[in-house]
Amino acid sequence: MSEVSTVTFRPTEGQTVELPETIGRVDIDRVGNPKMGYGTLRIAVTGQGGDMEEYAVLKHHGDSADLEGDAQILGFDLAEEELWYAVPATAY
Amino acid sequence: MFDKIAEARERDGSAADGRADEVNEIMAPREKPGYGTELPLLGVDYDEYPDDSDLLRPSEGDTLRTLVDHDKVHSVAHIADELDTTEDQVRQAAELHGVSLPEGNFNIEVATTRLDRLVGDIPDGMVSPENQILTAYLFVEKGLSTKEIADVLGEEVSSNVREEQIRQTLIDCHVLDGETTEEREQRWKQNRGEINRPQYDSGERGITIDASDL
Repeated sequence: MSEVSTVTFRPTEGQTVELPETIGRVDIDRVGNPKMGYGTLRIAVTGQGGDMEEYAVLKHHGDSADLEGDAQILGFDLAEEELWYAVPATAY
Repeated sequence: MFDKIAEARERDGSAADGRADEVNEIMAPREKPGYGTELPLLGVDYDEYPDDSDLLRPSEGDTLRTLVDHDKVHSVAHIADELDTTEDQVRQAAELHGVSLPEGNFNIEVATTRLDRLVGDIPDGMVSPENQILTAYLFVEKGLSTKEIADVLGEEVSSNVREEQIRQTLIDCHVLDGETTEEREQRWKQNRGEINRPQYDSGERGITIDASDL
């Protein structure tokens, strides 16, 4: 048995969040009533083990990007055509 | 001064060739906070500046530090203006990069303005883009272009002075050719029609309007 934790958040560019140190799965989706528009972007990061690490949440708009080597891809928001990713706070 | 007017007219608003070195030195581009304004503070072309999202990336910490340490930067607003972004974005980037921002929100630099250096001490009431004496002097005697005059006076009146305003002032005092403000207003009246001032006849009821020149 191993501990699994999930962190969910509504991403804001430049925010810092604590994520599992060992990331197993990332889900990104827009939630809400489609009739009310695009809905709200939400990200869920699931990992094993209880240790957490602080990350900065960033985004990139465009077809390609050069990301930092330790960047963690969170997903692509199709509605806004933006790539969301996270970099460890230790990178700053 | 009058002997230079004919020569100035031919320039039609552009700067004079061969103007005094002192004027060239005063009007030379300077480093100044503001994206696209004169010289960039980061030492690279403006098109190499980071955009909003890039500013938050770990690699852009030095960009922020360079601006914070620059002697022309005294406030968060200066940094935001230079990077063409918002103050909130600057603060967020500073928090990520661990950079302390300047606390001031006003320009504490006291320096002689370009107008001071060009004309010396003049009455405050003359400092206006509508002042024909000042604009004509800057254009004819000092050889500034209409764009340069607009920039210089814009600094003095702390608002945007358009080049067109300067040009119209020079036209109104006949230093440049063109339709004066008075001529334009007259033309407008003729095109739109103007009813003369009604004359009241004390002997009769009602008013009489002379429409003979309509």
